[in-house]
Amino acid sequence: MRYQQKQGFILLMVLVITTTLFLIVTAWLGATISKNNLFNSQNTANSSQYLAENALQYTVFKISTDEDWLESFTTTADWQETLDDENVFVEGQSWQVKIQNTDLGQADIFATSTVKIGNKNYRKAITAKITNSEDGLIVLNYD
Amino acid sequence: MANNIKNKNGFTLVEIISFIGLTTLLLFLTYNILVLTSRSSSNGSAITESLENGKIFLDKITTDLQQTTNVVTILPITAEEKVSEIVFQDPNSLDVIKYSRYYLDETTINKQTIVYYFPDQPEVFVNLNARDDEDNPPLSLIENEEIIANNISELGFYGNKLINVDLKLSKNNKVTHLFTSVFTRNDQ
Repeated sequence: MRYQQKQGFILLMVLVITTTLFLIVTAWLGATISKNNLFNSQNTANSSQYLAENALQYTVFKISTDEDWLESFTTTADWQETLDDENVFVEGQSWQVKIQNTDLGQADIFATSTVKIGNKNYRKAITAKITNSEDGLIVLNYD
Repeated sequence: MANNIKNKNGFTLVEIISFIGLTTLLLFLTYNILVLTSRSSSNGSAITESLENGKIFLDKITTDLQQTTNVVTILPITAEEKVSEIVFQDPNSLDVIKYSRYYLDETTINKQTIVYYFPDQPEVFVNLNARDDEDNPPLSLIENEEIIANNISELGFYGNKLINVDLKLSKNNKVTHLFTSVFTRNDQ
């Protein structure tokens, strides 16, 4: 009877060590996975931010260089237009822009960028205002 | 008597071998997992550091290019022909004419501030396209040079008016790719 009680000691010890190690490794893995997700989020957030800014810059470029757009922007108070581009810089990156005049030579721009990684789409939306300054330059102001 | 001692003290050979075997296996597995996660964490940190580096450069050059009125470098239209340096008039220097040159030097992006002058009037900085009475170009002087970003593996500029900046950063074999575009008021 006494022998039987002592013979399970090793098994118990191995189980305790195994459980402890398992818990430590699980916690470590969990922390690393969270950290990696954070790094990936930062990476994607940066890419989508620059992509959305690219959309805004392209819109200003378009209004400044396209005569039809410039005329509509400066002469039609309720003018609105949309723009989009796919596979910007690399495959899977796209953006859409909506321009809505709020007055003659003044508009709100809504830019949405999409970065596709695997099966997931990451989106970033930014808004800005553009105005036709007195010296004829199109000025972009971020909200 | 001998049987009594054997049963009451110590462990059997099978127990000891099992314990050592299991513990070794567990330690081996744990060590490998720790090494893998540590490497993964280190790669993540490298990406974050690269991103910060790239952001500093992109924010700086975006601001400069938006404000400058004279981009000297004639940039190619397509990404295939992109160039790794750009020169433009420094928009932050209002009183005197200065030029900024961003270029890739192995793995760093450097910024030079350059001024141009004629030998007979070294205190007067002129436009880089200026010519003296004998049609001689001005001399150049690098006033300042600083490192803007490091761990850069590729830098490219292309596009007319809408200048595209293509940047690749690498650290610990992890490559980060950043792009942006700047609409510039290039009057030239």
